[in-house]
Amino acid sequence: MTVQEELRALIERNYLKLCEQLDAVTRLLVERVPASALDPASIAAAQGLTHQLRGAAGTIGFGQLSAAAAELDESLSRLLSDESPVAADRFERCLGLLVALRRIAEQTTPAMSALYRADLASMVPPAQCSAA
Amino acid sequence: MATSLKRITYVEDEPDIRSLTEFALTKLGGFSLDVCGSGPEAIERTPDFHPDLIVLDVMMPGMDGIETFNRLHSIPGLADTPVVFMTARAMKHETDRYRACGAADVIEKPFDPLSLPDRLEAIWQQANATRQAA
Repeated sequence: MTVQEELRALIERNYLKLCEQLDAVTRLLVERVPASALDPASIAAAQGLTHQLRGAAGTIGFGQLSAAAAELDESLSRLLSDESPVAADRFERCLGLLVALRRIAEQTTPAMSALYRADLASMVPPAQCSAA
Repeated sequence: MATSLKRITYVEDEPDIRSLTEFALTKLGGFSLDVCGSGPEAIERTPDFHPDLIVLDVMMPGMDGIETFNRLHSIPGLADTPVVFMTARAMKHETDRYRACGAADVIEKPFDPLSLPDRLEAIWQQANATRQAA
């Protein structure tokens, strides 16, 4: 496997992990409605996962996904810091951002990553140009 | 003293970012890398690895990057090793705080993994020049 192929395989694996993280966020925020969706502990867990997703997506080169995750991350953070108990209308806004984030994730493919398309030929040290 | 950056300790708790950064620093940068998933792991392993540079995530569960930094710098032999913080919280007052702690530089997340090797080499060269001038 060349270094280029190795990077693409890594992006594909990480993309699947991002989708799993997004499913976990969805479970925390949506699938437990109505019993505990407004539970601050669930929202805090969802915010932590969304924050990770935001950073990882950006580093992997999924800019649009990272930006949408950032919006949800910040909205969830505000939800946690501003009000107690959690305000239902603000929570609804977070759910809207989650839907938008999922839509972007569904339209995203590993090949859309800026890194996936990068040409590594000129970047790899000579000793590692051949198959790893 | 080495004239180019060779050995890096990299501390990051998020597996996705860790795997990509590890790829960039070893496959593209050609560095010898010790990857740690937490502050305590770094404190245990770094003294034996003898890194030229330490790269630390700031937000980690349990022991965060600042505490890890302080603990590492109290270890004989590591007090002068340059440290670079990586953080999504990179407002000016926050980066100023990290530099005041003694960080050689701060890299904002998300970052471009492909340019990271050159960036770290430049930070390390600058830190070395500063130390030699002092």
